Amino acid sequence: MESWLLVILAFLVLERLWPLIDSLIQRFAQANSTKLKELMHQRQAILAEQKEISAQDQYVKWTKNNRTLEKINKQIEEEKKQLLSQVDRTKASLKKVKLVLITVPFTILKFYKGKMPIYDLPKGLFPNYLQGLFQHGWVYLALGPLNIKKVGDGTHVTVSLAIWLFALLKVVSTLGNIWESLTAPAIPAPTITTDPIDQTNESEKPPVDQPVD
Amino acid sequence: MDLTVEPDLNSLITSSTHRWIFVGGKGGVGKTTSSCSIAIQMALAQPEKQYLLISTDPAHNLSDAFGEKFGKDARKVTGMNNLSCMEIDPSAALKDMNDMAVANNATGSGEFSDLLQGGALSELTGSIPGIDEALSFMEVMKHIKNQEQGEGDRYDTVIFDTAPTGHTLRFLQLPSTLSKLLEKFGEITARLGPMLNSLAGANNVDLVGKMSELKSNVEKIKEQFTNPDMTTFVCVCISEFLSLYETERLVQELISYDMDVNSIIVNQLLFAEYDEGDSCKRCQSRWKMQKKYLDQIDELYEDFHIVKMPLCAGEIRGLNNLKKFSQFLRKPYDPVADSKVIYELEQQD
Repeated sequence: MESWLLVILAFLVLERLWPLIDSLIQRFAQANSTKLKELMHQRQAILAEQKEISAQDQYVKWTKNNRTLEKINKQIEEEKKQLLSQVDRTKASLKKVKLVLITVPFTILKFYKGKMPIYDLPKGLFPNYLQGLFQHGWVYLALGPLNIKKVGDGTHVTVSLAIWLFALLKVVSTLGNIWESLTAPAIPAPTITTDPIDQTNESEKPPVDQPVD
Repeated sequence: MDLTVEPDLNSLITSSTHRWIFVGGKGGVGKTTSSCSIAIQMALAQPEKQYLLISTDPAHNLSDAFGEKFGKDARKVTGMNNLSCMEIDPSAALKDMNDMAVANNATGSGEFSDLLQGGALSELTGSIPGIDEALSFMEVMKHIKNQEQGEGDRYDTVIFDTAPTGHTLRFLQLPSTLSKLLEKFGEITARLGPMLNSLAGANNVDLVGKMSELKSNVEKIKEQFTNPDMTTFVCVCISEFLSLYETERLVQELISYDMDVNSIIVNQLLFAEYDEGDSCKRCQSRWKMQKKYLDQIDELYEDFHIVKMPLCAGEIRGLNNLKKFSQFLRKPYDPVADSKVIYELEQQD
């Protein structure tokens, strides 16, 4: 019994950790886009150079830099598009992998071993319909009116895997929600200003970024 | 293989394929003089062909340049039998449209008819941004139609004396903008066609038919404008920073529209070192500045025809002066041999 339980727990952990694996693979794909990185560096270098030179005094260099910048911007856009489509493709493949490796076997396993008893509870601790639910799973509720499934004789009531898993997942997801709400960044309250409309002088405003005679 | 580009516009002037030639640049650099010069040289070089020079600049100068009045209808330049000129006048064109609308609604009565009588349509449409460009575009469509159907005056080449850069770029963007718009509209009309036609009212206007005709015309224009054998853009500038800056912007925009641009006319050059007698200090230092920018133009546009035109002693007005000045588009200006011409122009005025 314990080996099955371990397998199920392993599936459970894998399912929970999958988003992490997913994002790690995507980050790896992005980090490996050397061309994009190179283009970004080139753009940064040209922008830095453009800041240092005067358009009027070094017009040829400034214009050639602008042309190169335009080309690089186009290339970056292209690279980004390619990268996004690559990420989408990876996501789709990972989704399939998850379906084949985790979702389907886990579902089959849950269905197949759903009635496997995990542990016992003393009889009479919970109402009868809950004890039936623990022992037979959800099917007890569905077939309840027909009175086909009954709580077994004896001093103890077994808790089936399906119900135990359901309870465990509920606990895990509730804990997850609590953790998220505790670690989420606080939303700052909107600041209410009573200042009058900005009346700064035109001359105090920063200059427009364009060449002047 | 020799890859040097001639510093003249001979290839364009003697071209037999070009149908649309745009001349544009920053305000005050000599666009009108340059477009008149190109038109005159083309008309002289190919007398068997008909040329039309259209001013799409809201502030028209063609009449002033030739020293005779041109209007919204094409008229031959006095002394040239294969060159006509016209100035697109948005207000007059809109007034015509208003009058037509009034005539169509003559039988009707009520508030709409009263509104039209007051010229409301022309006033309303006249205030729409880009209406000049739209009317110039309509003129292009009219000429294409005339050429296809053999109606009205037929011109082999139309030369546009364009408005300053911003207007011109908007005008050149019109085909692709209209094309996209009509494509979207086509999707709607495909579904709502009969309903739209019924909405057009009792005038029996086939709205869907008109739209598809317009779409095909726009596509034709778009195709022709992006064909380097049929359309080209001649940039005009002066040898100064801001003019160069705007020329670069214009060139890059035109390239992004897939338009052919391979000629730049640099106007108002002083050539002060070749001046007869002692030229003034101001001219010398200004020529020094011009040379600096000329070198930069040569370096930046090495695969362009860079035509260097002199600053004349007087205004270049009238057909004779324009003819004399325009010869330097075909034979590059030689500051030693041709310096007399720039003073002769002054004597004629």
